[in-house]
Amino acid sequence: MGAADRFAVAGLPFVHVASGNLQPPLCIVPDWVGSRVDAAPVRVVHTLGPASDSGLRLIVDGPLPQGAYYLDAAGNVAVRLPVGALPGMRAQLLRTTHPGFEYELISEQEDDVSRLSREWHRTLLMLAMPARAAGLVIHAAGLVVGGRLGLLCPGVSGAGKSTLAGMMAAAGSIGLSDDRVVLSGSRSALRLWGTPWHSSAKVASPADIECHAIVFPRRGSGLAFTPVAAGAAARRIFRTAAFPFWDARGTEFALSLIDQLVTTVRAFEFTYVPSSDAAAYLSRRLLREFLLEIQ
Amino acid sequence: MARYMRTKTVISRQIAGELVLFPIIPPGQLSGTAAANFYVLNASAEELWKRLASPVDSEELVSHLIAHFEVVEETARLDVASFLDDLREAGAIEPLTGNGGKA
Repeated sequence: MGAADRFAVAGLPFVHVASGNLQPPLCIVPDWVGSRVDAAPVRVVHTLGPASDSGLRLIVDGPLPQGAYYLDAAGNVAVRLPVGALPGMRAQLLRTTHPGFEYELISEQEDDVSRLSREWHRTLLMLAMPARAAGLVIHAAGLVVGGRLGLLCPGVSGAGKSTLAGMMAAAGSIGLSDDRVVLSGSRSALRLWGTPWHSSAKVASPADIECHAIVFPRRGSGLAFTPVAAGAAARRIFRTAAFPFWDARGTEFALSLIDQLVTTVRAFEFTYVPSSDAAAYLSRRLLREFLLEIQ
Repeated sequence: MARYMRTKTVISRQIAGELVLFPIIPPGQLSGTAAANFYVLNASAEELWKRLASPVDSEELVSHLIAHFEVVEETARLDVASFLDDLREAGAIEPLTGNGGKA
């Protein structure tokens, strides 16, 4: 363990197995080199067949490319993309074989197996991480400030994550992601992992670092760096975390991870107008504020 | 009068010192979104939630609220009714009938 794997995200390697003559996907996204490997692989078996929702009970009918979530008779989650997710695509169905460890992706036509590989890997990670009680995908930017401070910047769409990440990266910080970060941890230190799913700033790195600080970005006039109480921080993170809302055990894990995060890592709100001055100000404030944590 | 009790499809947990309820979506109950729904309880709601660990009716909850908080009866009734409505909608409680059987 420890070497990078081009299919690994946040320490989890994905191993693709194709039945028959099917060709498994070639990559998650172009240029993704993969994170270091820190856990047993997630096995994805690709098969060709009807991707019907027969025998499944619908729990959430989400928009594309999220798809519809179902539970099977055993209480395991399944995710279905209907016909037309992309032009010419037939339906696809992801079924859980062994929660956290093995899934089956059923495609109705051979050409679809490698399409939407980026979206399916995101779904697989969102399912596998809490199922293993290993981590949680968070709608957040992640940064390494000053070469040693791990910064989590959660926010819903439009909060300014990507702008902040791009601005900080231009000013010398290392960007993990400007849109999706994995928070992992147990009783030990919490870690942030970059992911391949970037937004407009195109920040995506396979690196990982201990999580030292939380900053909620907020576009506004002037500069302000304001403490956020732990309870308020938790409520804001609830809105951005990919909860396994069908699974009591997974949800318990997610809640305990967020509790650990907000009670051990201090949170701030950063109000800013995008500029290199704002990036320099935030870097200085963070390194001064968290001097003890990163020594 | 209907008696209520917590369902098993809700997780309650202290997060950073606050009691938070997270309903788990049971099959067949569509939410239309994958975003988490949650409820952060204030001090009086937390007291009512504790009482709902066993079957209780709204009158008992009103009395409990008046006994533990400085609140007049009319306000207590409104608060309890609103609290029960919210929790029913979230699937966090269910009405019971008879000797505890479900309605």
